[in-house]
Amino acid sequence: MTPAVAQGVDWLTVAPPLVLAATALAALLGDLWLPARAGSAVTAVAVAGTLAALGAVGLLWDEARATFCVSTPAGPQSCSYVVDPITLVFQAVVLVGTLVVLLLAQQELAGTGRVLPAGETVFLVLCSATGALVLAAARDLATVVVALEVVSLPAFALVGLRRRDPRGAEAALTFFLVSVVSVAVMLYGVALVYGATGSLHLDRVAAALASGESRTAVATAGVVLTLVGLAFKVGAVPFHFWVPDAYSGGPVVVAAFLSVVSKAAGVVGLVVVVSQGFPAYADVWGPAVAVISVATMTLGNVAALRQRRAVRLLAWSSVAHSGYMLAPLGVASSGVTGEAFGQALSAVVAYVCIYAVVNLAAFGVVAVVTRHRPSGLFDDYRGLAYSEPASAAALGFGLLALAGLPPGVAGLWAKVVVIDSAVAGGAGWIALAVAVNTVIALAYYLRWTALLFASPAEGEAPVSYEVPAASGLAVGVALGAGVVLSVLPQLVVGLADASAVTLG
Amino acid sequence: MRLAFPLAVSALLFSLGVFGVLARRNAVLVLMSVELMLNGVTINLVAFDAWWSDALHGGQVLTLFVITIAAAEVGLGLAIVLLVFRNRATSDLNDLGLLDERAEATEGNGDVTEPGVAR
Repeated sequence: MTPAVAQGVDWLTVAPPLVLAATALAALLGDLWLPARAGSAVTAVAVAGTLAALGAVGLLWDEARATFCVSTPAGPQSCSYVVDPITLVFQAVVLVGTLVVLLLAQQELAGTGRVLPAGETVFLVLCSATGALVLAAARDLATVVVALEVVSLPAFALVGLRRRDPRGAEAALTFFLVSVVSVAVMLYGVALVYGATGSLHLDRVAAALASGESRTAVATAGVVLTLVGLAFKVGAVPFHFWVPDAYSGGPVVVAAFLSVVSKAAGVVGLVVVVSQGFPAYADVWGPAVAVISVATMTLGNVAALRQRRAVRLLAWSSVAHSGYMLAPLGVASSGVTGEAFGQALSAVVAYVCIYAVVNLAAFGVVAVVTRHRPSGLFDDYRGLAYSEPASAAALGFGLLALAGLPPGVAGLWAKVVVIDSAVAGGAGWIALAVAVNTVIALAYYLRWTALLFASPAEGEAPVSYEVPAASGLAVGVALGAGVVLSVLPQLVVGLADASAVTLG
Repeated sequence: MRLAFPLAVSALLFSLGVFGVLARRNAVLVLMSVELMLNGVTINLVAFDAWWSDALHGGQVLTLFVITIAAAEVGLGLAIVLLVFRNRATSDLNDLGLLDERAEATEGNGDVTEPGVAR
């Protein structure tokens, strides 16, 4: 007879996703009741909700909390939802990213350039962000899978949301099919892990895998297949094909959302699963992640070199950055100390934070420019520094930070942290690969940045973009965060050093 | 019952699904193949749940979630296939080429409202 499992729910701990989910519903229903073309009101509700969730994250700061715990006579208490420093940082990144995307989308939702339905767009963005918040705190495989799907499903709809747009529909279909197949493969892996360990809670999975007697082919296959679904979400090679299609087929604001919120969700899912659940199999997934990471950054950068369109270049560059994000995890193997692994986790967290804000700054300006020049070619940016100095400054800062050059010092910190963690973990070849790829990437970032200052083409009047207030605010928030992280990188660097994880 | 029987059925279903995903070029049939893969997963989960006599019934709970996820995926997937069909009058994956990088590079014009032409 199974004892009744009564659970007390700590509502404050789950407040951030709860607030965001409630806001999503309010936005969807509000859009029904409010008069047509009330896009601004819906955005205002969504922004308020996101700020409230950010406030809830602030309340939880400096405190480790857990909820949805079960205890069986057999073992200690296991929790499905745990809030620790890494969780909070990722939740803050997701919320800031959502905030910037919502402000950026204001022009598409309301006003003259209305191309997206307001209520639906806001609802889908907030739902997807809710999934990302839960994923950061998930500590059992069922929660991880469900949260991953909550992130993904609204994203497919967002990509195909623009009406009468065959490119968006096609991009949505590619994105959707690749995603559902990889999720099915991941679920098969989860089922095998469950079969090998008898539990879905990551701490129990880790204990069972570490106990040695269950070190079987089944468990190994389960671990590898589970990583497939997460590698897809991050856009790592060989699951990267959907990235350029989805980014360039959908609206630019959706591409910004995918490149920041959805990618951060994938990375945090990967970090949670490998560090909490599979540390005993580090010698299985460590080398695999290392190879995937180096292949991803190389392929992303080489493909980005020959792009002629802004969004496609950012898409391939975001593939390359996935490689940099995964690089620190590649040091994991049975010989690595818990301290070095903690440093690797910190490096991943720091890289994601910095990448998110500087990438949003770049995407924000691209979204503004694309509204006026839909072709999206690089020539649209020729001489932007003379016609729109503020936008050009934000774009230039974003691009140089992505490249890792001053004045975008934040990007430089991120690269240094990643290389440092790879060296500390004894994987010098990964550090070398990151360094070589950074040099390759300089070519396309600098070419684009130089174009901003080139003299405008003959016989073409400089276009004034009249940047809307919301878009300006969005770019300003991202740029401000980037500048702050350039000056005070210690805000995000070294967060997980304390959480030492023992590798088997 | 031996654990091997349900696991073999599950592996067979999953492999059938993988074959379908790789071999079929119609989006709806690919969707159906994904469903087969997910059904393989659920059989696995239920079998392992019974084998471990899991007090928390994690396998059964995840099975319910997988069924829900599969339903949500099919709903959304058919909507997207319908959207593509309306625009292009085809649901054949080989006919999708609007986002082909090489085509885009030579065409030189990224007008998003331009109706696509099947290759």
